[in-house]
Amino acid sequence: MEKKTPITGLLSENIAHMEELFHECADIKKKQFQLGKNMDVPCYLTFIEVSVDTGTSALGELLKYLGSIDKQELYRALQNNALDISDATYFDTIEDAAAGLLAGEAILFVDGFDRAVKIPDDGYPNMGISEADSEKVIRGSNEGFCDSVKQNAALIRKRIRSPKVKVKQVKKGVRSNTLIYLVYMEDLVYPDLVREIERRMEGFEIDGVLDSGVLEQLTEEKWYSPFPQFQTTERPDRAAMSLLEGRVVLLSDNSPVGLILPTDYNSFIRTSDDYYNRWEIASFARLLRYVASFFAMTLPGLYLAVTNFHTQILPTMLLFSFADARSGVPFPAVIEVLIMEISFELLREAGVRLPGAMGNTIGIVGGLIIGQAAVEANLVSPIVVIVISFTALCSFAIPNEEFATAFRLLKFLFIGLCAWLGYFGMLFGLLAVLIHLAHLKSFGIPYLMPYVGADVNDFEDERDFLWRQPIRKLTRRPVYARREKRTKLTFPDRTAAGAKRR
Amino acid sequence: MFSGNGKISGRQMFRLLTFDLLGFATLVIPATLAGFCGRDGIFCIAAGILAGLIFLKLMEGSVKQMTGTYPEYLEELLGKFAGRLIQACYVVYLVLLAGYTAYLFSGAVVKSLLREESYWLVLVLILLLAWYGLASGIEGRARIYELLFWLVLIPLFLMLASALDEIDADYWAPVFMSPPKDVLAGSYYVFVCMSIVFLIPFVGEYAKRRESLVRAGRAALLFTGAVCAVLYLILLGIFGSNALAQMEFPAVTLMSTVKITGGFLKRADAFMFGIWFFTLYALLNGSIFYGEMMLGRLLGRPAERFMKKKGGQVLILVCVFAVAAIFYRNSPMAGLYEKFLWYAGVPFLVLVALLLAARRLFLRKKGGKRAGLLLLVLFAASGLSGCASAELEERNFPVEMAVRNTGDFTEAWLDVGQSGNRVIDYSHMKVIILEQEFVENAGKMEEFLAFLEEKSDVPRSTYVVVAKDAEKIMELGDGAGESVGTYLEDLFENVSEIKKTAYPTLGMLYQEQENRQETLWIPYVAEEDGKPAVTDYYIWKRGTPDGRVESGAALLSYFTQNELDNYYIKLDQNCTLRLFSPHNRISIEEDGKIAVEIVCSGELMYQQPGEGKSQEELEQMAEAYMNAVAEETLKGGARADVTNSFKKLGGDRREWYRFYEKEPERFEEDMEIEYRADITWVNL
Repeated sequence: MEKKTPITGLLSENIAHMEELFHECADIKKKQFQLGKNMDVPCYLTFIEVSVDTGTSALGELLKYLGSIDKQELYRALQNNALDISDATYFDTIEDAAAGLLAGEAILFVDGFDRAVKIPDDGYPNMGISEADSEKVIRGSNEGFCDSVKQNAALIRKRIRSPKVKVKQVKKGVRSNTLIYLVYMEDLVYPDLVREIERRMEGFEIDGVLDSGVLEQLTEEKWYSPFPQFQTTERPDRAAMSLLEGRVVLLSDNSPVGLILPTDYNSFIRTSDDYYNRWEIASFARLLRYVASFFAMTLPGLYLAVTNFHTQILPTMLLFSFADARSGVPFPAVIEVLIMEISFELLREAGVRLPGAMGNTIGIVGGLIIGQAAVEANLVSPIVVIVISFTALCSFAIPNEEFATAFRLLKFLFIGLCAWLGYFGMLFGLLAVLIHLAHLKSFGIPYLMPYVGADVNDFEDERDFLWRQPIRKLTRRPVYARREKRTKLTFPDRTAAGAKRR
Repeated sequence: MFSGNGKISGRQMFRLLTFDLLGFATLVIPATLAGFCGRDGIFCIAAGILAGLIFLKLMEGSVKQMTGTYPEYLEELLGKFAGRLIQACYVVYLVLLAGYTAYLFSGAVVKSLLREESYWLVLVLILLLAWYGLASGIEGRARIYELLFWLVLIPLFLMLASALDEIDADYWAPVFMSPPKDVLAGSYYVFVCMSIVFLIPFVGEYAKRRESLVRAGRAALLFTGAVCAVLYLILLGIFGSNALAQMEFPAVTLMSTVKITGGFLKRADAFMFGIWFFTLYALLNGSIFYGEMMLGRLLGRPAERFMKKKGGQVLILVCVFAVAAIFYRNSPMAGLYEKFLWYAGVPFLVLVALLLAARRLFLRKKGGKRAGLLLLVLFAASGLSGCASAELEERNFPVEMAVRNTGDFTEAWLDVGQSGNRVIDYSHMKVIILEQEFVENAGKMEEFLAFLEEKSDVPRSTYVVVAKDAEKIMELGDGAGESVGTYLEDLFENVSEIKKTAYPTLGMLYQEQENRQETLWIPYVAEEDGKPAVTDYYIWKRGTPDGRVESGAALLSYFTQNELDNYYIKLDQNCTLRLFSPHNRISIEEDGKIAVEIVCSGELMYQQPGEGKSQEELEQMAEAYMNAVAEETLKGGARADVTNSFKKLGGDRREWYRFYEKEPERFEEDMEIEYRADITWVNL
């Protein structure tokens, strides 16, 4: 373990250490001045520019206060932590003080006092709370996570005002020292789950964690799987909902994306407003998303299998219109499909990278103008344009971007298999994907839960899978929560009436 | 934390076993059973299931008493030598079973989905998939089938429900016609297929609760038995016993025959093949899984490292490939294997169960590299075979075909598309127009039907019509405004008052070649106002041509069999009866006379009610008319039975059926038909 340098009562020594650490750091302000009523106490204040306001902030008020009292009273206030601010932290070593400074706070060294005082302030600048870009809902809060892990944790706590919400702090990144929060409900979560994610976090060392995506990839079990084993969210309400299910939310500083664990296929298909809307429409939308997830992966392949191998499936008139549409197209159907799919992926990538308004323009230019021109130039048939568009719609209907990406990638595998082996290729691919999914787990939870192993939670999870039962029927938490704490909804009046009848 | 304990639940066990049983049971049982004892096959299914349940009962004791693994239990109870010998036999049995399943599976894929693809490629891909599936262990396998269970069975049940409409219940009777020896053989055959439940003790070490194991096995047997019985009745009701016995995979053929309501899908056989894809895969994967397990335990500690490195899996897979290759290259070997199962394999399974029971009485256990390798092999294998299929626009889809007596009928087959440089795709054929001269050439006709059935490119649901000059009918498309095939299909399905399921199809002709029970009334097409029209009917009696008759006889036959909605009887110039909503009944009387009770509604057309005859008089006139037409058809030139009584009444009078089965030529000669009308008049 690295040896730490203790802070001494000699201010010049401490300044020398700090200057050594932060030389050629123009963004770090280092000020020496005198405190006390008689201006007789030398001190050294260091902070990162922009992150600290010395005017009307807590720091400004503190400095005013310390400048208004005499030397003895100043030392007494420092010793007794009576600085009139709630979150002053004392550091005993230079390294800890430096870490505090890099966390965006102001550090005060006072001559004759052998500790440094961290004075909280605005912290690093961030974008602030804004609307979540993905996971849009029609009903419910549109608040989204921001770049600050502390604000994100506060957004969760705002929704669950319970002391049972625990936040464990971990720092990852040898150089970035990124703050990671593990948020969970103490009484609902399996302690093993928290220990397991902690163990996995300890299992690697990296120079910098700049986004939660890095953590995700370093802690997942099956690194080769296209399917995400962490659920990502930009929505505090979704994170809060997960905590109430007994899951753990992992927040990383500088990342507006929280990670939820464990997860399963069904969780990726669910949206927040599934629970805010009436059960009938929620169930219908969910069923639609399941169908979408299937077709997002298989539709172009299915088109190739049917038109190239199993024409007997289609009604004759439909088949003739397909054949008419393809007449004059110079490429084989598989190349035609691949051209359209790759064009679509290019448009999508271009749309994402370009600034907002231009991104939309790309969509219109690509979708309408290029598409129509390609059909008129006989490069592709209109049927293929319809197939690819429908596939794209299906992939957009999947609520989670990372999850949808898995289907977008697998779609190319299915195109290849179906072009090669027809419907046998389709069955082959489906079974291979199914074997993979059956094998996949997220922190011990089978990925296909609750379609498999629903008996573990007495089939209760089957009330909220392909369709969502009325909310009054969802009285139990899913399998992630501790068995003895799974009741989440009760009707006291009804229970009392039942007891009375008995 | 929650999983990864290598244990599976009762529900997972039931689903796993059901999938293991279902593939074989639904694919091979119906045809073989029909061959053994035809209509009595349903009783064989019941007996076979019962035998399976008894077999399960025999194994129950072992499952309950086992504390460790099945191999350990064998050694514990029978001694090390006998225990190990049995384990070695199990390994051989499982490898052979896996090899046979792989052979059957690859064959079914090639025949049903990839007719022009290499058998070897399909076999290799299937084995690779099985190998990839082994990586997920017992839990992964159980999860796959737990998820697939309803995804596979719901479409199967929907297709079976759609097929109900096409069942002809007359094919179900008569029963109890097969010799007891055949019924016994059939029952044993069903038991052979159901003997896969011998895997139950193997699952023992993976069961969360051992007590639920036998329960799961029993439920799987009963469930599979029920599905198999329903499927058998449907297949029998649609194809008839003789035709069923001649089919290779009748359940797959059924899927191509069933007409799906709504018209979005013309045929669903390719989609429905998924049922056998997943079920046969389950058995293949299961056999390899348990074979590897048994081999590992048998070889013991010295082989532990080899087995750990998946060497055992590769060894078993190579053996399975070799077995399947031998069966494919040398089909008598596959027959020999079936005999092995019959005489040695299944008796061995029963013997072990008995031995263990007697002994008890006397004495009071990954994936990334594997997925990568699988993809690599797939990529490499894609180089072995091109995407052989032609593009959609490079194909011709003929919808009608004229078959003439001149020259070789295969010329019609090749000329029909007039395709030039295009590939002909017969999968959308709607109507085959047979020239009368060709139909009457029995040898050619038989050869033609055998040729089409063998190639199986033309849908079984293709309508068949007869014409004096088939080529001339083919030229009438311009007058009809669309192709003759489409025009005639629309005519039969949307315009005609005869139910569309009653019109003879290619499949019906195939069936009658084998069943030889029924009289089919094939529409006789001629030109009328520049369009093709049905002017008469051609009789196809018990698989042979029997001449042309006027429409009256055919319409009476369709009406008698409740296949025609409206039947018109012209009594005189100004008086026509319309009979509709028939619920007619055909029966056989003590003296052998066929009685037809016409129960329907009726109205008097073109005459004011009350002006003419009474209800009784009209009924008598209708009876007389129908009797005259039936008599004329029966005893006249055609010599055809308008009631189709031989097929319909076999169940009522077994001796009568048996007699004419042996002497069919005497049937029309001996028979008498009497119509009795019970008409509910709507305007009298």
